[in-house]
Amino acid sequence: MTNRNSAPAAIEGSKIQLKGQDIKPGAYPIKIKERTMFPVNTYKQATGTILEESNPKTFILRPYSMLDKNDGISGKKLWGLSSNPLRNLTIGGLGRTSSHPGQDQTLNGNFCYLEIVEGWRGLPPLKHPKEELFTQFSLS
Amino acid sequence: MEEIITTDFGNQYLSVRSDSNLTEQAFAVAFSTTIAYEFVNLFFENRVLRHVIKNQWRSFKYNQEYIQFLLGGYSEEEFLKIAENYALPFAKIDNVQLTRGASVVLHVLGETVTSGDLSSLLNIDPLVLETALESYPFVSKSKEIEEE
Repeated sequence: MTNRNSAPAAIEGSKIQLKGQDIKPGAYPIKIKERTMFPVNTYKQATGTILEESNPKTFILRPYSMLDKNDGISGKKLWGLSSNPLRNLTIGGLGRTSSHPGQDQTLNGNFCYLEIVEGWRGLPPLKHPKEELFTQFSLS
Repeated sequence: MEEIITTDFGNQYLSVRSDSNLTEQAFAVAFSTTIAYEFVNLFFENRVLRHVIKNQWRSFKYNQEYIQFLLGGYSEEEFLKIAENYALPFAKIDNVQLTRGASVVLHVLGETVTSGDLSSLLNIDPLVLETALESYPFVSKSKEIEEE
């Protein structure tokens, strides 16, 4: 059982427990290796844990994905894919804190995936992209 | 006779198609870096924004179907068939184009977004986006500052 809370970290499995405070479906589905996958985003904070391993237990999307049961990731913002569309989020169960009732959802299907896009320590202290980007490009 | 004149502005290349009668004018344009950049940037921004609008229109139509499903208008089987029609593989764009595309989007939005959000707008795998943007110091990529 491994838990990681800093990027790059990802989990892949056939069933993933996702709990957090702001779970949202993403844009239109993505076709990956003939599978139709539904994107999912979580903001604020979230944790993902593998409930069932993939069969066969090999990574599909990222070479650094963790694949064992009970492996997990947590961070401020996660991005992932589910074989089934999100529906019926459970409120008031897992992911609850003193200030938020919490939301949870089990991603299931042949293949589910979650990765950290922003960890607990947040993003690097960046210069504002709006100012920086065009300097970069116009001078290069 | 038609020829392609390629001019190197640092790392940027501008190709101008020209025939012998227009060579002088073509060079005049090619060597005017300001004009060239304005032209290339406008052209490129236009392409990126068209791509984003098309993506967002697709998302909008899909979300209508998704809401209909959540409201009970479709069974799960029906919805999965509909969703199948909207599914697209991630677009494959080279790193230079991708970095510039991301810059246009960030400039328009005026806020920091994650690679997951950019992925939705550009239909690019977040890891590919992060890899492409990694060499730029401004990047709001997922990777944290590794302290260890």
